[in-house]
Amino acid sequence: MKIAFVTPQYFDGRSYVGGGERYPVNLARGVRDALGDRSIVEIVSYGQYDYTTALFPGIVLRVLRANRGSGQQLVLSPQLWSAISDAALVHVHQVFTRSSEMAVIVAKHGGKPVCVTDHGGTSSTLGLNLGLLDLVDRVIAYSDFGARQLPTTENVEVIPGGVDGSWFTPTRRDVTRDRFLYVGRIMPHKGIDRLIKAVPSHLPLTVCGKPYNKQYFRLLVNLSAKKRVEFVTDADDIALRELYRRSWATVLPSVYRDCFGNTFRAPELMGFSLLESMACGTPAICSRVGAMPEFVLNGVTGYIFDSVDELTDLLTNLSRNPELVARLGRHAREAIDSRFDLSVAGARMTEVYRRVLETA
Amino acid sequence: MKVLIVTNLYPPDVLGGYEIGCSQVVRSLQERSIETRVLTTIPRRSVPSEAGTERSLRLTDIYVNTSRDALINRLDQFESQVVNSANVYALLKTLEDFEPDVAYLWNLMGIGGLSLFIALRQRGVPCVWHLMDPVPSLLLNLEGPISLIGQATTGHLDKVHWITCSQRVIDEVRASGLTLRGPIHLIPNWTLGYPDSVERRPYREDGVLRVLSAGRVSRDKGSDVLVEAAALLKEWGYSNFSIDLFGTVGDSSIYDMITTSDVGDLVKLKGFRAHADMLRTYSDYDVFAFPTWKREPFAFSPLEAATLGCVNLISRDCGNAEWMVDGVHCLKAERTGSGFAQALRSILDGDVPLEPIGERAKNVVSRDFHLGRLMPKIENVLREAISTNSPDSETKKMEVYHLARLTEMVGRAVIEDEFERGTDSWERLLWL
Repeated sequence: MKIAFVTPQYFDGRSYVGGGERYPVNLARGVRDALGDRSIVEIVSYGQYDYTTALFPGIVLRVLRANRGSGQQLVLSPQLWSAISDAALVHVHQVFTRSSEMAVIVAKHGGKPVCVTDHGGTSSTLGLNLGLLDLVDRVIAYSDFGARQLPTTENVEVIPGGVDGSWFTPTRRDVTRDRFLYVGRIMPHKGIDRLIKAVPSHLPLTVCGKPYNKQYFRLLVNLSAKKRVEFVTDADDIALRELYRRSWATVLPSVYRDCFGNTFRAPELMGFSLLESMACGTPAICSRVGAMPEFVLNGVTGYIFDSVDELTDLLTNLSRNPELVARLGRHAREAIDSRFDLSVAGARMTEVYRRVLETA
Repeated sequence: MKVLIVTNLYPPDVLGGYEIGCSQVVRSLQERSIETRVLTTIPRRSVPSEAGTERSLRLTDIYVNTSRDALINRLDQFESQVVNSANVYALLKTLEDFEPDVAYLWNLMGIGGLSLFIALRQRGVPCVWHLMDPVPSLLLNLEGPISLIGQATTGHLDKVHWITCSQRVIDEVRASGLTLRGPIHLIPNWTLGYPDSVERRPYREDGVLRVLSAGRVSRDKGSDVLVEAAALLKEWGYSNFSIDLFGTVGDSSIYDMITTSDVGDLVKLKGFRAHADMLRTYSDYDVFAFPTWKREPFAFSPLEAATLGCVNLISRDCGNAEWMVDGVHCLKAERTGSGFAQALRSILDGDVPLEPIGERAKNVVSRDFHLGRLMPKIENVLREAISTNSPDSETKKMEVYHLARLTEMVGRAVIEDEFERGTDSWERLLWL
């Protein structure tokens, strides 16, 4: 059996790095594990060239050479239907994009059962306004917060998690934790400016991610002037894992209103870097924003903060208390194993697919 | 049996034989006590209302309006071929009201035909599609990302029962890349027959060979072929013939051609004649010359002419030629000036006697191509479609409409995206 994932962008060194792209790959692995060896999950996406590559056993990335839409975005490929025509079910990711709207329409016209997921990347509200979600078989959210953002409650399933707990693992070596860590895109709604303000000047902070806003990045560099902040913009997964393992905690300080006054309705639908951190046995600290509080158990697997001052206190305390860090880290890892690992999410997702296929 | 007929045009609002043929079949079905409902477009001119005919579909009149704006043309093409959600709604309403046993499809261009067909399949209605043109190929002739919708829907064609007037039409559909898996029934086009009391003029009365052609006067209809043929015959020393071209002049270069070829005394443009007048005219002519257009599926006019003893001279490749034997029921020629000239020369030289051919054609056409003779076959196909219908599942009415509406709006946006040159929109994206 083949399950097709359709996503406008894919997780690859040549594409964008972020939870919205990593998640489909992880979910694909979890689904494939649950379905067994006689299944394939094909991730169909778009790029400048056609190519197909095996990512993992039974997981194939198929990149279709795409037409360019407005703003020169890569939108669609004439090969899309042939790529999904033999799939038993199509799962469309980043559903609120023109590309994914068309993917849903094409799949429905082809008589395919369709599931969709919003990863927060909204570039088109047309489908949303026309009730696209009412036409699909299931809407998958990965948090209750994410589910509440949807204009429908019918056919919605919440399946949290999807982190790769087999790659992101606690270290077995003796490693000195010597910093705090931020992982993610460097964009204003991530609130990294608040983290830099909060971190005591004697404590190291590593900000790991690619900058997507020059003005904001310059602001962060200026804020870091008298602090021990380093920016890492080119970490691969090996380096990233090491950073998680060597940190007292990973902080995701996202905001509803950024430092420029812009507001965001749903800045975080999950907080993937928090889960990666927890999988490495490193506590997670998040702002009380979006879906993040659903994934961090305050005082057990990490902390939830409300103000910059509160964050400062938390960082100071953790840097002085290795036993606390270790305990929080153990509980964080347990939470991953029981609730948020890709195998858990994949099994639950597969069960949803089975029900959809039975009805179809 | 209740039959829903879906057609883009319907008399008196017509373009040609496809619509006229449709209405003739509808009347015949009614005469056979079969209940019919015709769903067609709001007429382009005022027409009287007719029981059993619903004129509620909107026509994207690609036959008349051609904008200079490329975007408008693409949007019109999309609406004409792929989806007009208002028409889907109208169809669903008719299905609810009439509850047909089968949908009998004709020309679906101009009315968002693809979505109408899909809606019928989604609602589990068996479909018989009568092809006098490669309509499925025309509907699916799409450019750009929109073509994806067409690709995804070709599977629905598997369950259709096809009636086609010629093998040529099927070959053309297949050549476009479509596979027609459902049963295909070759049923020729027809005549309604004419009273025996119509007296035809003796062949080559006064020694003059009288030739006519009927249809739009233009190069793509082969009018230039006939002018060329006349010029060649004149060059060869023949002048005991006339070629009269009936129809609206769609190509003014034909005037020029007649003048420069110096055949103004032999080739005459006779103008438009109403259908009923044209029927009476055939009996005054010896030969109906039909070079027609290269892709001609199967025209009605040669059959009509044949019932009045007007010998068909047709191009070898047209759909009509599949049904007639050269030298027995008709004469065939290559679709060139020299091809038609040589065929006419054979007649002028007395090598080909017209009367026997005319009589045989008249008998065969009046018998085997009479609509009354063909109607049982058509009815059988409709009944077969009903009895073998196995819908995959039935989609709810509002879901069908919802999908059509979504397709329409997103499709239009995709087309506009193609034409637009906007600024980079990455800043608008919110990611995990």
